[in-house]
Amino acid sequence: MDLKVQNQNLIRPLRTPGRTVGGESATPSASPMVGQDAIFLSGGPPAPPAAVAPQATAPVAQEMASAPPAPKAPLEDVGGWLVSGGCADLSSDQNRQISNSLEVSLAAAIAKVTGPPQVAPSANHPGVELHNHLLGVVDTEYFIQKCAGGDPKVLLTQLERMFRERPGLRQEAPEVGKILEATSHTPGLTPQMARKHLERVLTASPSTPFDDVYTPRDELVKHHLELTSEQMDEVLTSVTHGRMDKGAHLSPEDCRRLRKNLGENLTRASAQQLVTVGGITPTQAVALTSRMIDRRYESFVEDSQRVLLKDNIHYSEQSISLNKLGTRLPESMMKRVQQRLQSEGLQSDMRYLAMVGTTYLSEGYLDQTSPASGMPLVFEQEGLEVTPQQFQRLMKHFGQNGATHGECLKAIANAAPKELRALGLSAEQSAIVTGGLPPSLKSGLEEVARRGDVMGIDVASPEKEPFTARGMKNFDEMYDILKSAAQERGRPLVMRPHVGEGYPEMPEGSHGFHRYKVATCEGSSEPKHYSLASANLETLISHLEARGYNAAQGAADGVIVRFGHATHLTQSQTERIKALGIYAEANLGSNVQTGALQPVQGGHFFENHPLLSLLYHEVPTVLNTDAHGVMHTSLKQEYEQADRLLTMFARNKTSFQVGEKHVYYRDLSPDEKKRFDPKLLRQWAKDYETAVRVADQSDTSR
Amino acid sequence: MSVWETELGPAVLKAHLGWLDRGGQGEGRIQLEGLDLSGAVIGSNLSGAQLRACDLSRSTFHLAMLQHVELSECRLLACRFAGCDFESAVLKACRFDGSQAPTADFLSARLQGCVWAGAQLQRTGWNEASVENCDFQEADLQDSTFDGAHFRQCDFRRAKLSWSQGPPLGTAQGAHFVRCDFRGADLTDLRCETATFEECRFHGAQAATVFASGCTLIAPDLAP
Repeated sequence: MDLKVQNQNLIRPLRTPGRTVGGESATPSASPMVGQDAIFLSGGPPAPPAAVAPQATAPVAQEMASAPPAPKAPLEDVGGWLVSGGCADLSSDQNRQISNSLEVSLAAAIAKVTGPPQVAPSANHPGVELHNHLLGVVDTEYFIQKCAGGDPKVLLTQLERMFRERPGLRQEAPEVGKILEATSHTPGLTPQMARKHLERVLTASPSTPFDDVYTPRDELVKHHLELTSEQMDEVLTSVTHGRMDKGAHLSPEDCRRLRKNLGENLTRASAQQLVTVGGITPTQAVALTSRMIDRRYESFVEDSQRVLLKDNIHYSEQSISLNKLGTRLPESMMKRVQQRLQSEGLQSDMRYLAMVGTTYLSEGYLDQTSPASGMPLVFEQEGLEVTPQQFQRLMKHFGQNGATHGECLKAIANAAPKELRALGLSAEQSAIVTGGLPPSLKSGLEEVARRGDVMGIDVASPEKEPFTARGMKNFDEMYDILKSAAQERGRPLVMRPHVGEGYPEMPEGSHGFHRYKVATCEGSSEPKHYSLASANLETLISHLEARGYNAAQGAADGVIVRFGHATHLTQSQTERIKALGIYAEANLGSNVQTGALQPVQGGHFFENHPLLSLLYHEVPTVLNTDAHGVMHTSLKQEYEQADRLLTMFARNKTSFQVGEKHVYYRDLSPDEKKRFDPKLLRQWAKDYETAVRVADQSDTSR
Repeated sequence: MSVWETELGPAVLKAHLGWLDRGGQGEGRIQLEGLDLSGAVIGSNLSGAQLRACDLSRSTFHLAMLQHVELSECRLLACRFAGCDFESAVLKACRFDGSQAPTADFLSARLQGCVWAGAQLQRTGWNEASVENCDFQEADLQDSTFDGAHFRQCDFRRAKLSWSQGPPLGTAQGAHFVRCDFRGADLTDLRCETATFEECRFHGAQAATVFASGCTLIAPDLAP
């Protein structure tokens, strides 16, 4: 079925220009687009359609179909396979066992003959993506299908209820909260309208800041992703036979009772329902619920990899919060998922970057306060434990000159340790308050950095605040954690700060988020977030220069520094990151979707993007989606767009600046022109993967 | 009401990409008629899509691939098309008034009865395009290229087709302009030595450099 949809009767009379038409039309009739003409991949000739790998089951099925039938026994359907009906002189149980073993061996045979990964014919990229956020890979439709049985209205209702019942979610994702509040009062909601609202709730949209959408996505995965009955069996087996805390084990009788009492609702039951309806203890219910959540994440990881494979991505590094990585995504789970995919002939190598907030590079984390005490959470952490009395004393001292609450906190964080000790903090407390990562964060990073499927640290979250000297101390601590782990593992690891992206700031007095109506600098039309992004790049680049980082030092330390986004690099900064040996990760589509790039005169988005400058200065640059589903893009589209930018440059339509001069393609020497070959972008990604594979050989954690 | 995100949302775009991946075979091609899709934001590949009598006004197409796209009787008022590629597109009786399409390419495209009045079309490429009965009144086409293009009965009154002497663009070599209206237009420094202007109107046009270039002028009409 083609996508022909209903007519809204918009056909209107059109003013025809100029003089009357004379003679025959010069315009040929629209011709249907068929065959290879239909595909044009800019930057190179159309890719020939690669042979699609044959369905793995086909040869086996044909072979079976052509095999002579068994002489005596009739065929019967066993688990979808036609097998002989058994021997008359064996018992029915014996026959069934034989049938079952035959079924297993057939399945094993099929797994063996499964061919290489099925690659769609249109890959225009090398299949390597380094900047992606796991929770953002799947699209809205995935959640509609997997959490609401295909009904967008049901999913919207689930989300509305979720946000209504849990105020914490509204704090985490205020714009999404507002949208859901509004939709819950919409009468006569159609599935189409529900779908439209869901796009606003689950993806970056003109009225949704991108960071908000990760909260409902995570909640849906955790609590609403459907579990199949087989998956539920796995979960029950694990809580019956697996290693569990005392009192958390389920007996076979508990399992039978749960199934009987909850029936099909078992896979969706809350911990409370498991107790009240299912008849198990609260301890058992908590343990079972936790295992169900683990299994949902496992499904989600598998499904996300399938989405990536459809985009021809076979190697990716996914950012996921340190906490989630440690609690829900163990290495053993990743191995299981990989084995399942491999059994279908799908080769997917997904690895992780442990994500901590960009706020650690600024002082935004001080804003995260305990609802009970009003004290920054960072002050309450284990090992520090500033008492309310100590906190009051500090606030009183630093608030003497009419400073606001936030200003006081920053003054505390930037005070001299000696001053804090004089105010009653211990030496250790003073040291932690004025610098250094929270101990729990540090130990968490140290732990995951030694996992074989973890490739480094991602410092990511909305870039709303200026990076500070204290933030650079945190950067150094993370760097040192990676250096130590890299030396232990015998492979380089990645330090990837999100920097230079900026976060659209709304003008004073505006309500809600408006992607392309952002606050501008005083007396200028430049968006405010551009200057903050450039300033943060400056702080980080200067810091790396000061600490003597360069490619050789990075190689010696085993730490590769990659800048996530780097959208608002200035010319001179681009030259300096080349000298430092830093990789750039360009996310073109994401920058449009999030508002990191604003349209300039004429509707251009990419006039301010540094891609051309990065290529001119030969900074290794890798293209990425940032998050397929959230950003409405694919790696294929990212390469298409980059190719288009290079084509426009090669046609002298666009230029970039070197000093005061606008440089056009025609101005370049033949050697310089080679730097703008679209193949180079692909080669950098390939080279990165090759280096990863080589390092894998010496990695003691793999 | 705009049905963007419901009718031309991700699922439809994805299906279309699948159709492209199959070399334009099978199901999934976007073929839409009579829909209000205004306010769309598309960076996707819409090559080969067919849209008739749809309203895509105020939409943003960032670097979108629109090759071989077939648009007829569509409203695309005040759209953003910067950097879009319309190569071999077929555009019939569509309104692009006030749209912004700098650096877009229309190479080998076929346009008939389209309105680009007041549009921003700087540094656009029209090489080998065939354009008939189109309205470019007051459009800004500075630094565009028209090499080998055929323009027939087009209205360029008060339009800007000059070359700024910046980028190496602003050429119309081998182009044919037949019965086009350039009254009040700015053609300063347009490089068109091998172009042909046949029965075109030039009253009030800044076209001295064009006339001096050695291009072929057949029956020019200088009357008001």
